[in-house]
Parts: sequence; structure tokens; C-alpha cells
Amino acid sequence: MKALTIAFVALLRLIRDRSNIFFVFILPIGIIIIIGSQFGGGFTPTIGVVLEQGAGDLGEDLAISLEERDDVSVLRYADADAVVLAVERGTIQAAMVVPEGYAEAIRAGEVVDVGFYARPDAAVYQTVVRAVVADQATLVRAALFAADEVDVSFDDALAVAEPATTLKEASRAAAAETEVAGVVVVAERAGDPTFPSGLGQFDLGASSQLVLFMFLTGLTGSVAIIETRRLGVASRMLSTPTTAGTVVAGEGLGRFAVVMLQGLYILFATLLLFRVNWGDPLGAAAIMILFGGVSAGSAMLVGTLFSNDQQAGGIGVMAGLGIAALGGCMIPLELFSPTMQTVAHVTPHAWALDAFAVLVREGGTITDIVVELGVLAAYAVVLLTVSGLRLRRTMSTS
Amino acid sequence: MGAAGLIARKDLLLRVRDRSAFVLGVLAPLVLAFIFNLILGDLDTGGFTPEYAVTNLDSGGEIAEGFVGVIDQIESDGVIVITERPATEEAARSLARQGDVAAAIVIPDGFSAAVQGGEEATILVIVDPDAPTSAQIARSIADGFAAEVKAAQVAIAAAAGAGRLGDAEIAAIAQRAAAGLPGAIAVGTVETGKRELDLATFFAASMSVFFLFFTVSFGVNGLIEETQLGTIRRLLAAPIRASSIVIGKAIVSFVLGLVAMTLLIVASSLLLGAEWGNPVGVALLVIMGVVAATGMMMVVAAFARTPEQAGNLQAILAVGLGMLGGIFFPSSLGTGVLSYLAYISPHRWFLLGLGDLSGGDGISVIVPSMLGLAAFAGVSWLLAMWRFQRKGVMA
Repeated sequence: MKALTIAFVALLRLIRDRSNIFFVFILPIGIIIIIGSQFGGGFTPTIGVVLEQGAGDLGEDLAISLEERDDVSVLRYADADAVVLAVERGTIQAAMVVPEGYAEAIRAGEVVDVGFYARPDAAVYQTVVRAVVADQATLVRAALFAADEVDVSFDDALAVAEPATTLKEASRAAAAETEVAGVVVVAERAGDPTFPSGLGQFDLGASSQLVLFMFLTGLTGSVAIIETRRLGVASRMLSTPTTAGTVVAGEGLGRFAVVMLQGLYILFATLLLFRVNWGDPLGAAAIMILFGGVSAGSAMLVGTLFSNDQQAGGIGVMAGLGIAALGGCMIPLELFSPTMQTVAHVTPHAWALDAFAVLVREGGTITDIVVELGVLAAYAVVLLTVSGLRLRRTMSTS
Repeated sequence: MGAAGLIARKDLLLRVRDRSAFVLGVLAPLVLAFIFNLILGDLDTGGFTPEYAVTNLDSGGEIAEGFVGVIDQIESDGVIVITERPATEEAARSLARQGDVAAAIVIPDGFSAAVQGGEEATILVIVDPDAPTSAQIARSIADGFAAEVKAAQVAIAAAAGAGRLGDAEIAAIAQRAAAGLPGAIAVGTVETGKRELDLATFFAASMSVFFLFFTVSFGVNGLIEETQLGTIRRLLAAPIRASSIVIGKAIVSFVLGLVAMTLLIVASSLLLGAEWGNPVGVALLVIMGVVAATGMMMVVAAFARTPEQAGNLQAILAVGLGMLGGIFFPSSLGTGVLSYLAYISPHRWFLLGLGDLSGGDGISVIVPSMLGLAAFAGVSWLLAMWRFQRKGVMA
């Protein structure tokens, strides 16, 4: 009962500290939004498009057919200088510049150069631009040829050629006689992707940020333990008829309550705001409770290792971010090299993320993540025991 | 040494003895940059050369060989790499499934005959589901060739359709079309420069500037500490100008920031292989960055009532602006709303300046970034000075 009171005070201190409104409640959601909006849809290369003066209807057609592709997103720029700067800075991957007087030159039967700009390491996107240009060239060349062969104007020939290609579905039926067989490109997927497309935009970021922030909030909160010791609160508690064991249990429970508050907040906030899928509730609860134990144990350990709260705060932030990065909370584990994936599993974070991945992506249940839960439990027991013993010793000596 | 210098000297000694400034200012960014380096290894931003397999089951077929020739041409342009030429469709499929290639392009038996006979011909592209972009590029290559074939077919149909011709005339046109259509649009490729930091440098720089805000706060926060401890009254009673106190604290911030950044630049260059770029340009950006960071932290110190309140607000400002400025995501902030919002962060301007500098076009390219940082510095210093004056800390 006394232990619970001590734990409740820890929770109260967290909430009373107004900066925590930002760090505990606003920041995690902000980061999940940033990650979701940047990486949620998977990586889609962006191609900048500039239509210089007089690019005309054919230039506009070219831009539209690039925009209609679903493998790239298109952003229009006002002039070539701006688009080249964006390419150089890496804001966009490549650029297509339709030159001045494009439509007129094509109608006059000249060979026109469409500019493609990319850094040497991104030259591959020219294949996308080439495919779009080739589609238009199909029409233009056919029309030029026809105009030459049978003495009609270019635009009349173009109007006949257009329905013949599959580009303009609407007018196709009207001129079925000019339809040609062509070559069909059939794409086939070999196996299932690692990140299934059913994965919500915010799903990937939500579980990694949940793990990151439970641990980080635990570590930064460890300052409270140092204050408790330094200000003599611990000694005063011990002077009452309270055993050291109860005080340690109370502090431990307090840390646990703090990290669980953080975790549950992120869980429910993302569930309500972004409809994040957390998978089997029982499995998710088990991961959170065990990882809560890991975080609480680590927090107590930091709280006993340092006596200067500024140092502990700095090291808490560094360790909290560093271990999280190593554990795959900032860059997905799937992108690590095989060696680094092994190294990553030194951290409890990697195990927790693996477990969430099984629940969310494979639709697994608690029985599918027994190994991960076992490892997390082992971490929690060791950290809580070691830090508990240390805390008890520092209290009796101070 | 003036009064300001003396105050600065005392505070600096204090900060050297208490190691927290070192932990936050130098150790933390270095360790984090090291971890990021470790994780990402040789993975680099943006650029890649996809690897494909090509299987031609219609060998000897005129049009199929033509397509293989097109692919080989793209490979010799250095855009893609053909790593495998499996003999069967099954072998090609298993390469894509195992992720050995991003995609396998398979030309089926009888392809050329189908095209020449006016029947629908098929090109099969088997893609690795984990490499969607590379897979799309393989499709684009196939699409490009399909368009080429279609061009000839459409040309014939168009001529026939526009002219209402008889069979014999169409046959004659078809022959001329097969001999070659007029060229119309070419794609001229221009390689641009690169104004983006490599990953090792990016993380060294982003972590440095992120923690810089915490480092400089140690200096200006001395003002609130002295206010709380009551020592500021004694300082004000001394025969020195009040402004010397503020200037002294600002000097502490400035020195801590510059020393930390210098240590980080040297250490990350030696240990992590970071390449910060033109030393003069880097020095200018660092100095302006330290002035801006000091100013912003000083505004908080000027308005806060207790050291805790200042520390909290500063941390919120540093973390919030850092996140917004893209310190954890290499400059590919993309093109969304967030990429514009990023400009309200000095972190963004600092990293942008370093990125522009890495293009190697001389130091004039950092002018926009310097102006951006100067705006933060100017506004925050003015605001802080105004507040200090009202509080009577400055005469």
C-alpha cells in the first residue's frame, strides 16, 4: 500500500512538470506524424517538371502523362534553375524540362530534346521520363509519318493516331478500326513484400516510437530518483516505519507507472487519431508490460549510477536515443545489414519491435511471440533486480 | 580583462569542472552520429543502380533481339546492371523472389512472330516486391520498348485511317514505316551536381547542431541561476556596468558552443570520416549558428522565472525545432507541407548551408543559409536585450 503511494507520487510529479506535456504527450505524436507523412506511403520518387514558354499543348500532355503514372509523384516548378537546385539538394530525385517552343517545333517536324536532369547516382529515373516521352513520340511520329504519306495536316493525323494507342481510353472505342495489337507488358510479383501495402501509413512509426518513448521517458525520469536521494526524501521515508524494501518497490513501481502512462498514451492516441493497427490486444499488452519492466529497470539503474541530475539527464537522453537507434526505432531493422541486425538484438528494443511486427504485419497472436516475450522478460528481471539492489544500497548508505 | 571577461572566465571554469556540458555538447552527438553511421553503413541517400536479370526465350527472333539490344544499351549507359541471364522463366522468377535481382525481364518464345503477325505480344516483368522503385523502372524499360513497337504499328494504322486507302497502298506504307519513322522527341540527359551531405557527414552535422542548442544554454542560464541565488544583486552592486553581466554570460555560451563544434568537427572527421567541406564556409556557418543558438536560448533565459522553467522551455525549443529541421532524416525532407515548415528551424538553415557548400561551388552558396541564420540571431538577440533592459539587468 505504501509502495503504491510512493508510485502515485512519481506519477504526480511527471504530470505536474509542465514541460512533460510537450515531451510525453505532444512530441511522440508529432514524430509519428512526421514519419508517417514522410515514409508512410513508402518511397515514391519525385520528378520536377518545368514547362518552358511555348511548350504548348504537347508539353502539357507530356506533363500530364507523367503525373498519371503511379510510380512517381510530380511537382511543377516555374523555371529550370529552381528545378535543378532542388535536384542538387536532393529534395526531388530528377527533373524533366520541356524546352521553349516545344509544340511548334514538333509540328514543324523537327527533332526536339526534352531535358532530363538528375545527379549521376539517380540517372536511372530517366527510364521513367523516357517511357512517357516514348508514348508521346509514338503518336507524334505516327502522325508525322501519316501526314507525309497521305497529305493530311499533322493535327488531323494526330487525331486519328491518338485513339489507336491505349493512352486515351475514352476515345478508343470511337475509332476501334485504328486500334493496333501492340506489346503488352505484364508485371508479376514474386512473393509478398516485407512491408505489406495493407500496412497503415502510421503503423510502422507508431510501434517504433512507442518503444523509443517508453524507454526515453523512463531514462529522463530517472532524474527524479536522484532528486529523491539528494533532497533526503528517501532518508525521511526510511525514518518512518517503512522498510527499505517497500521504498525500493515504491520507486520501482513509480518508474513503471510513468513508462506505462507514456506507453498507453501513445497506444490509445495513435489508435484513436490514426486508427493504427496494434494487432492482438493480449499480445500487445504483454509486450508493453514486459517492455515497461525493462524501461523501469533501466531508469532505476541510471538513477542509482549518477548523483548529478544534470549529468544523468544528459546521459539519459543520449542513451535513450542511442539505444533506440541501434534497436531499430529510428531506421527500420529491415534496412540494417545482417551483421547490424544481429548487433541490434542486443537491445530490448529490437525484440519488442520484432514482436510488434509479428502481431501487426503477420496478424500473429501472443503464442507467436513467446520467444520475444521471453527475452524481454529476462531483460526486465535482470534490470529490475540489479537496479533494485543498487537502489537499496545507495539509500542505506546516504 | 574586463568585468565581462572575468564573469565569463569564472563560469567557463565551472562548466569545465562539471562535466555535463561535455557530456551533452560533445559526447552525446558523437556517440549518436557513430551509431547512425554503424546502422546505415554504406547505404547512401537517393542514388542507386538497380540490378536486373534478362531472359530471352525467343532467341533469334528479330524483334526480341532488338529489345535485348535496347536493354544492353541502357546498361552500357551505366543506368542499370544486368547481373544474371537465366535460361528459363522459372530461374528468372526465383532470382526475383530471393531478391537477388530487383526484377527479371522475360521475353517469351514466339515474341517476334507475334509482333510481326499483328498479334498481341507480351513482355513479362517479374519483380521483387521489396524493391518497388527498381521494379517500376524495369517496367518503364519494357514500356519504352513497347511504345517503340507500337509507334510503327500506329503509324501504319494512322496513315491508313487518315487516307482511307486500299490494301495494296497500306502494304506499301507498312513497308516504309518498317524502314524507319521520322524521329521526333529525344531525351537529353544532363548530370547535375550534388548539394547534399553524405550520410556520415549529415549525421555528424545534424547531431552537432542539435546538441549545440543544449550546450549554449549552459552559458546564458547562468543569468537565471545568479538571479535565483541572489548573487546577481551583488554583481549589480559592484562597480561594473550591468551589461557586462549579460555579455559575460553570452561569451560563455559562445565559447562553449564554438569549442564543442570545433571538437565535433575534428573528431567526426577523424573518427567517422565526415567531410564538412570548405573550412572557411564551415567556420562562417558554425559561428553564425552559435550566435543564433545563443540568441534563441537567451530569449528563453530572459523570459523564464526559474532555471527549471528555462531548461524545460529550451529543451522543448531545441527538440521541436530540431525535429522540424530534419535532424534525424537526411535532407530528403521531401516536398510536402513539412518541407516548407522546416524553414522556421535554424537547424534546417545550418544543414542546408553545409549541403550547398558540399557542392564545391565556392562559399558564396552559403549566403541564403547565412541570412536565414542571421535572421534568427538578430530577432532573438534584440528580443533578449529588450527583455533584459526591462528587467533592469542591462543599463
